[in-house]
Amino acid sequence: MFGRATRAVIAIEFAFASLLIVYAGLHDVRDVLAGAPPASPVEIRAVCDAADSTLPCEALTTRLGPGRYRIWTTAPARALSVSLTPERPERARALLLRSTGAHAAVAGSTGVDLNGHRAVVPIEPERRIDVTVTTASAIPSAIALDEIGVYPDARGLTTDMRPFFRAIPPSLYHQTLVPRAVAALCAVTVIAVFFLPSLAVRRWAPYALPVLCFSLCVVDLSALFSPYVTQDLRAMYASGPLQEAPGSNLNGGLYQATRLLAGKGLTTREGVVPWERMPGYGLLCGVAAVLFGHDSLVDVAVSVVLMQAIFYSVAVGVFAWAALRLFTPPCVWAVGLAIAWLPKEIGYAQVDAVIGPTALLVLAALCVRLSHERDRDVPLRVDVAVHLAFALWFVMRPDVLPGWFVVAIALHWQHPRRLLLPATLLVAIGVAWGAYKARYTGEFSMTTTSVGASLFCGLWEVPSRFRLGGPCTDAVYFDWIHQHTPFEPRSTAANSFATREVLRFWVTYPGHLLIMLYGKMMQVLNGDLWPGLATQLQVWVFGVVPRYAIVLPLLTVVAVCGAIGYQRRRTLLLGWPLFLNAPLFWVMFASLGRFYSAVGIALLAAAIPPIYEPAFYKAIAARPWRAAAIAACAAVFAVSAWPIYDWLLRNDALHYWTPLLNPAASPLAGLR
Amino acid sequence: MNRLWARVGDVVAVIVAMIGAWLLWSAYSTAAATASFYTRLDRIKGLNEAALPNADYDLHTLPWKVASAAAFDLTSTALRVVTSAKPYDYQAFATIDTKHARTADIVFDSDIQAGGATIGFVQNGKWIVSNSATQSGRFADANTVNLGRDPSLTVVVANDNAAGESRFTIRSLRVYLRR
Repeated sequence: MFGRATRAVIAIEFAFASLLIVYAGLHDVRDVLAGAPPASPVEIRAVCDAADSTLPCEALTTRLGPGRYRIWTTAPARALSVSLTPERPERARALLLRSTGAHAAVAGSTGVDLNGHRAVVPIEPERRIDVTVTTASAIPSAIALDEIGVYPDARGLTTDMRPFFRAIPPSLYHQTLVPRAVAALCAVTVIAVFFLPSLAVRRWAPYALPVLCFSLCVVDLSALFSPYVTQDLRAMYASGPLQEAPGSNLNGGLYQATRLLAGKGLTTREGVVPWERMPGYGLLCGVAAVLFGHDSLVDVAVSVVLMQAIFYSVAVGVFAWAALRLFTPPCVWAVGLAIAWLPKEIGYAQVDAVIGPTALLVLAALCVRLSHERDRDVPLRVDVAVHLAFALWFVMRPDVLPGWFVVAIALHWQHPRRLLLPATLLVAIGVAWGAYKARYTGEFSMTTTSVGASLFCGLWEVPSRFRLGGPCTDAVYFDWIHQHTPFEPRSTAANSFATREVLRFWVTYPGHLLIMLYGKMMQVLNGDLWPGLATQLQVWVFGVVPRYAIVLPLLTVVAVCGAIGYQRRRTLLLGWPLFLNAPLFWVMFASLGRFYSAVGIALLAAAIPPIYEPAFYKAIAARPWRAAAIAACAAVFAVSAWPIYDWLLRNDALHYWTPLLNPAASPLAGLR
Repeated sequence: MNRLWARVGDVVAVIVAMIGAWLLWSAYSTAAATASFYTRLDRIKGLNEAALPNADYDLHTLPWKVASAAAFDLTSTALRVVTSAKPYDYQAFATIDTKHARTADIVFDSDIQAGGATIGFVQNGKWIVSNSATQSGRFADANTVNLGRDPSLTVVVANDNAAGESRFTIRSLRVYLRR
């Protein structure tokens, strides 16, 4: 009786914590996606007063949402004059302004110093509202009014309309209190789930986890893009990525989607297909635009972010459903919630944001296959699902290929005819994309032509005295190609040249190759395998236990499983991105770790389940010396790995050692 | 043996229920305490001179002790301070009994003629709340803080001028202790 009552209390705590997490996220959905309440419709006229009257200067306008705009000058200006004519003057009582380092003079009101935060100026109902914006800088520069809109009142403009704790400033509320509280609530559910009826968790987890995951996504987005603290998603895209040339990292997919829907193909500009990307992300952006809105590029960006949050959440649910075939419900809950809780990249419209959920689908399919391996024959449909998931990754990003190849061999070495499945999918996708691109480029390439560029940039991601060392951009690579070849830098010929020269450089400087591999491996262990901006949702844990101290024990669990033969095949299959995807970026461009999201997820999926299984500890007890040897090696590695890296970096004799080839023959060589 | 394990299971369940309750309560209590703090702060900042209730201590009833001020001139209308040349030194302080109060509010109005100033509370040797200004002009503000267990609280006036000496006049300074 006593035990039953206690379990009922735990169940109530679990339900209450889950509902609070869901509420915290859903409450912020409008703030994250819309950024502001609907403004009163206005007619806008903007004029640039150029600092140099001989230069042309225009005032351009981007619509952020209903009645809310961004206005900026195309050249340095003395002033930006904006006239707003409300359709219904009686509903124009509050003027929203936001800019950085500017001063706004509103007709009929006092001046406003704009400091990057929203300012709301009360206005009298007028037929026309005049705003003059001048720069606070002594040196003339372009003026940007990042937000302007006319509202019936100031509600919901500088703080959210929350029913509880209204006195707390939005920055503290959204960036600290809510994420930390939600992290604590997640911990409550992970502990409490042990005492819930197993059948109920098994039935509901695949539905509950996606809802919780979506909520966690929104809590993260709200902390990073709160309209009341810095700038909302719409303002961020309008003032940042959409100001860059079409095809850049954060706008390539958006332009592809918009042009695709306009019947102009999967291009970023007229006649330009991306040389460094596969087609999947552009298509996904197109689907998002169709489903959630595409009136403007800003709308497409927000639609894509919403799509990414939904995709991530659904993938967590699918993984939970599949993982329940192998693991206990508390274990699946812990793994699923941990994956949902990780830092994510879903606020950014780039393919790396969807590699995490795509990897989850691959792992889900592998879970289903592993559950069928107990039977004599694995049904064909299961293998089709496995390879479709891999193909989805390939259509997004080609870095899956080595892993796909090895996993396919491991799965089908006893039934080699099934290797036709991945081969067919690979060829179908590659040939289709190659043929499509050939219409624009005149050459055939089944994947991307950026391997050489990635290898080139990868060389300079560890400290060195090489003349090309330092931040690597497309421009640096293009300059280098132009200096040494007559090729167009995006072409297959340039790609082959760069690849060949990087391989030669590795052989010329084997010490640098060693330091590069070691340094990037250490960055992964230091937490790069969980990319994305960490908010207080994650800092609640990472602030107490550093990522290095979490990653190493989890890797040790994986290593122990391998050494003592406990669920070796399962652990290796679920952890394959650790061994077959992460090392790829130790030789290629890792870009501060943004490509690693699949690796971090795989580590959790492979390492957490054994911790929940009593059989794991029995297996350790059966082979204690092997387990102890692994643990001892891990401990020695933990304390010595960074000092060794420091020693390597200081050891110039090794770093710049050229035992095999003459460095003068390499166009990459040369010290500063 | 089975009954023993059942007992162990029950004890673990009780511990988990308590941990869960504690985590839920701490999430709520943190938010509630923060909201309460900002509600108080809003109220204090919203008060004007005429509407202020009687303070537990004011400029003239605080037991001031000069620390390093070059000049400390307390008159019936104001306190004029010329600081030492050290950029951030305490200039004067007044240690008071908290009277078992849980929170303390401070409301002040001053003018900075040169340099800058910091005014706030120190408890157990650490600033627990402070307001600073580093430009000439009016420096009027209010703040509030939850007090620790220490039965005493020190009101501190400090220099805040990296260049050296500051000069300022405090017209009013009120301390409210709330239980």
